[in-house]
Amino acid sequence: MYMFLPFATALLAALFIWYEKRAIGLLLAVLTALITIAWFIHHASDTLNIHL
Amino acid sequence: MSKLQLPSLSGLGNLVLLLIINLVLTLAFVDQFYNHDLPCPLCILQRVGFTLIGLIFLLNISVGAHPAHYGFGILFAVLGFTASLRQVLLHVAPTDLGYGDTFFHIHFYTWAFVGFTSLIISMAILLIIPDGGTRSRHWLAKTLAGWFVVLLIGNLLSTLLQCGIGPCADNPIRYEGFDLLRRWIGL
Repeated sequence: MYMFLPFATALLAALFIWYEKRAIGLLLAVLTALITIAWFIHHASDTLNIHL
Repeated sequence: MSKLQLPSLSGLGNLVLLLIINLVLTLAFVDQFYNHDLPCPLCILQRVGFTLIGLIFLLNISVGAHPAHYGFGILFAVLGFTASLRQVLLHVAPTDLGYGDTFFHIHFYTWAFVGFTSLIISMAILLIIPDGGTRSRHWLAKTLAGWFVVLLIGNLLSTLLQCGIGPCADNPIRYEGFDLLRRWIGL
């Protein structure tokens, strides 16, 4: 999985959306969000230095 | 929105918010290239967050508004909000100098936190006001959409050149993907 992948899927989503393909555009946007969540979990693994 | 008609309030709201997303992403690029401030992985995720919300406004401009669009938009904003809050909390200690440059004495990730919060509120307001038609093929809508797509392509290329084919460095200081590309082509 590559860091540029969310931008690639978002670009595809934008193109489909502009050509009024709503369903596939939304699907690609959700896929982008899922990839972003995966990357967030990958990069947010260390504990925060705060006490709540 | 025809050439002679003013857009509806909801239509205008979507256009203005897409303009703001474009300005935010452009400012991030200006800081990256003019101030040589490379985005960290969390910063890139925040850019994706703004891009995802931009897709929702593009969707409303292209095919018309739907409550589900705003629902997705709010979820995407929560995703960006989480990434920016994580970064704020990483640097919240008094002795911590923070990451990257500041804008009006506040770090970009803190501005992103404010931005995502404002976008959640804006989309909630757009859900409340009557939908007077957001679909538009006006030159202004086309310009904003084109600008958004150009920024998307720019972010795609910039992330490829910075991170290459893998995860980004936690504290990036060089364009690793660009170095890799230069080695591949023997420069």
